[in-house]
Amino acid sequence: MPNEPDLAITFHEVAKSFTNRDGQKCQALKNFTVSAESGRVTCLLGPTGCGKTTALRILAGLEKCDSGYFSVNATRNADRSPALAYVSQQHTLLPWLRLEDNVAFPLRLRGVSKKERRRAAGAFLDKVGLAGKERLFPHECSGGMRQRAMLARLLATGAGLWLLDEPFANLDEKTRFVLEDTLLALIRENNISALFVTHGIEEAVYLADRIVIMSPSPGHVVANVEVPLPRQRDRLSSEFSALMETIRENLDSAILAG
Amino acid sequence: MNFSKFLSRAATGTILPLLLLGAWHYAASRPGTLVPTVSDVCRIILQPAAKPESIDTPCLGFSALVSLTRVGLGYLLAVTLAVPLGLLIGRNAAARAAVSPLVTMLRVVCPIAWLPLAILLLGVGNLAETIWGIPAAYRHKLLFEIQPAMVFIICWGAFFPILLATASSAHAVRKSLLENAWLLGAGSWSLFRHVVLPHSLPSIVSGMRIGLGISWMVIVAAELYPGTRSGLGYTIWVSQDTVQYQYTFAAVFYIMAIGLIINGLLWFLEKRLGHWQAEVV
Repeated sequence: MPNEPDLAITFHEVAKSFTNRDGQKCQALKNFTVSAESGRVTCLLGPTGCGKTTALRILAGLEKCDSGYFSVNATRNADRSPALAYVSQQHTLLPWLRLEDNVAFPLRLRGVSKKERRRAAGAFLDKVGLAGKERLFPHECSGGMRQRAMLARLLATGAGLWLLDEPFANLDEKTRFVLEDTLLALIRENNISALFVTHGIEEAVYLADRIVIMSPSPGHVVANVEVPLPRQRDRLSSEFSALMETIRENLDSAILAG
Repeated sequence: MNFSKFLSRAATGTILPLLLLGAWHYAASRPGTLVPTVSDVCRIILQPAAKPESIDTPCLGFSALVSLTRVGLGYLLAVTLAVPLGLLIGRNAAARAAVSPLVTMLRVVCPIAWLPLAILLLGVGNLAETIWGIPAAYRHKLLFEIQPAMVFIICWGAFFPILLATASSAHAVRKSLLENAWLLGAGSWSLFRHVVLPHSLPSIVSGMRIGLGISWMVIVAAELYPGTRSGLGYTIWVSQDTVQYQYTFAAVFYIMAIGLIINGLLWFLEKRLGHWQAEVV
């Protein structure tokens, strides 16, 4: 794995701590070394508080690491790399814009003409299954529709590297299954490299090409697990359950050890 | 079904005003009272262009126009100053630290209390003569009724509600929205233009509505002061002095009607701009 030549993302011995209100130091990441290969889905899996989100925020340029470095497409400590796009658990659609204007927002920032924006937004919304919903406002949409719109906006950024921070955590299971398939299809069609953060073992096994298991306080990597299962994966197959069981044991022992 | 519900609610809402009207009619019908009759007041209300018979003031329509112009000028000035300043102190901690204490000190004092100071600074003269130096021979009636001191305190009264509403909403923009827009490539101007401003707009209009309400109350008291020769407030004071209460009542009605109309317009605008806030509720 470390010999893989084409790495989209690497963290090298990254450390990050926060100071809370009481002045106590809290180590979010320590000795954090992870890589994600181009064109693959890498999942960061771990319980709450293991620094998964912090890792993504460092990549996105929203936090600075205390020591160590990261690189995006071989550029070290890139600040707001245009190759990256980010989706969080809580949608960040602008509530005063219609879905089409939200999806086209990255294009608007780049000065694309209104007509071209409308056309592109329509096409992207179509890709995520929101054709005909262009004129809706975010508050008129269900949680699933909003996350779909977030995916459409990811497409609009044109970025080849997607950072996904528990994007489906607030959705009901059925909606989540459908959206996971939509996401995988988009990733395949657009040759996207994805770093997907989740605390759900089943979600990680379904989505990932490789799972990075993390443990909290301080956040560090416990194990790397390749997922050899072919697509389209069957959640009910015995191989699927066996892999889930392996990962569960890994997680449990890490937490006990920590 | 909805319409009948609306009707019954509207009917419920008219009970108290009708009772009040009845009480007024009763009070006016008692012998020896100074309370004007309902019909006298209605007659005066319905003749906005008629010069009052028994008091020396312009017609009610012109008085309303004068009051509205005073309020309009002061209010526009307040909006022009308060919105940019509010956005600045909402988004900039240093500006907030510098301005907040003074704002807190000044805003607790009733606007009318500043009128003597305003007159001291700006005099009792009117806009046309003192500011633009138009000779009285060329007098254009309306401009000669606008006193800078009154415009100043109208501005003062409206300024603080607009400032506070603007600042607090600009301060309360969801951090994740700003972060995400930044990640999508927005610079500081784009963040302001596409995130902070649209987020704050409904609250700004809401502050503007409250500010206008205060302006409209302040004007009545301000028109009591020297240099005034017209205005709805002035009509109230003069008619009281000369015991012509039918004009007092009529002027109060004009104040109420105009206030309701303006408030309604701004309320409508606020709802239009803030429709997306349904998400928050």
